[in-house]
Amino acid sequence: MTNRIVLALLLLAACLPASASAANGKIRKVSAQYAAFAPNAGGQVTYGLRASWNDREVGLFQNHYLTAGGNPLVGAVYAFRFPVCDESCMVHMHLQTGIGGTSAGPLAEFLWGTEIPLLPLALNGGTIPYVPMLRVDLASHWVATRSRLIMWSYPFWVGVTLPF
Amino acid sequence: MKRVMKFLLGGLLGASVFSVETGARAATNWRTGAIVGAGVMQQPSSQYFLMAYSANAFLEFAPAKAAISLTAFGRPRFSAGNYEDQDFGGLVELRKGVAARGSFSLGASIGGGQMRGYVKSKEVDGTRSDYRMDGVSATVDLRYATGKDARFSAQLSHTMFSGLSTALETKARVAWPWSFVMLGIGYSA
Repeated sequence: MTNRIVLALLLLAACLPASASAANGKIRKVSAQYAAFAPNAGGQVTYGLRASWNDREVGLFQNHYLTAGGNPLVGAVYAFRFPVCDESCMVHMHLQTGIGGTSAGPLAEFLWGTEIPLLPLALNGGTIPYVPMLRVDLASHWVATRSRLIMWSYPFWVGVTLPF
Repeated sequence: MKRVMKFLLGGLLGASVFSVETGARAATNWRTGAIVGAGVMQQPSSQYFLMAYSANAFLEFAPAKAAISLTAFGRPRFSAGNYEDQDFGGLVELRKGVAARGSFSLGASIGGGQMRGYVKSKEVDGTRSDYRMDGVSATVDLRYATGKDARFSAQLSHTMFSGLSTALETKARVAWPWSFVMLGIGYSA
């Protein structure tokens, strides 16, 4: 019991610099995404690697469900992040709009993201450096191919975020 | 879900009447409004763009730049040969303004609701297959407001609705996404 209290106090103490860091806008994050749901068994395997700072995010992704020229679709995106509930919230939510390119054509991204610290809910510390967060996105990609505009959905794109 | 939507719709209508009767002005506190729109939608597993229309009613709390909104989507009945189908949807969402510049504002909404529709084959004794699916939704909108107290508005919005899977489907990472892109005009008081 004592150990748990000490652990809880240590985690709470860790929240203090985190709050200050978030207030200064110095939080940086890297996210790794693995899979998204899809209207078929198995979902879609979509690897994503993203880095964010100062409400900007850059990302690389590869979608094995879609192909371009016979190869999995690959793309890069530069996005602007608009916090709905900012870094001080227990669950951080944001809207992102971005532009980029893929192996099939130019890309526009609309993304609604949620990041949940992997901590007991009682420790409401917001975004805490070095504490991993579960990231769940709803994302919509508009890809302008040579022949048509494709609107592709990534319902529940799941990943892990590490703030620092 | 239907009861919740009825309750919220009743609340919104009540607030509208109250607003008109008392002459409450939103610019300082809260306001109600409505937006009607038309655009395109995509069904799950389909890359076809289908014409759709929408109607939205909202109650906005101005100081927090937040609103609760009810949106109804519809797709006109398609009928050709022996085939007929149609889709409808209703969403309850919480909206928050996340950026503004001049008369333009950007909003993000999250919520949920239900999509429903039917497919009918007239050939086989009018056999009709209905579906209903509850799910979560998210919307981004770019709104332009003008006129006295910014009462008139035009809006471009993109909504993604993801039908919630059954437990078995969730294990198999199955979800059913609908997409909407709507251009609308509105009025608020």
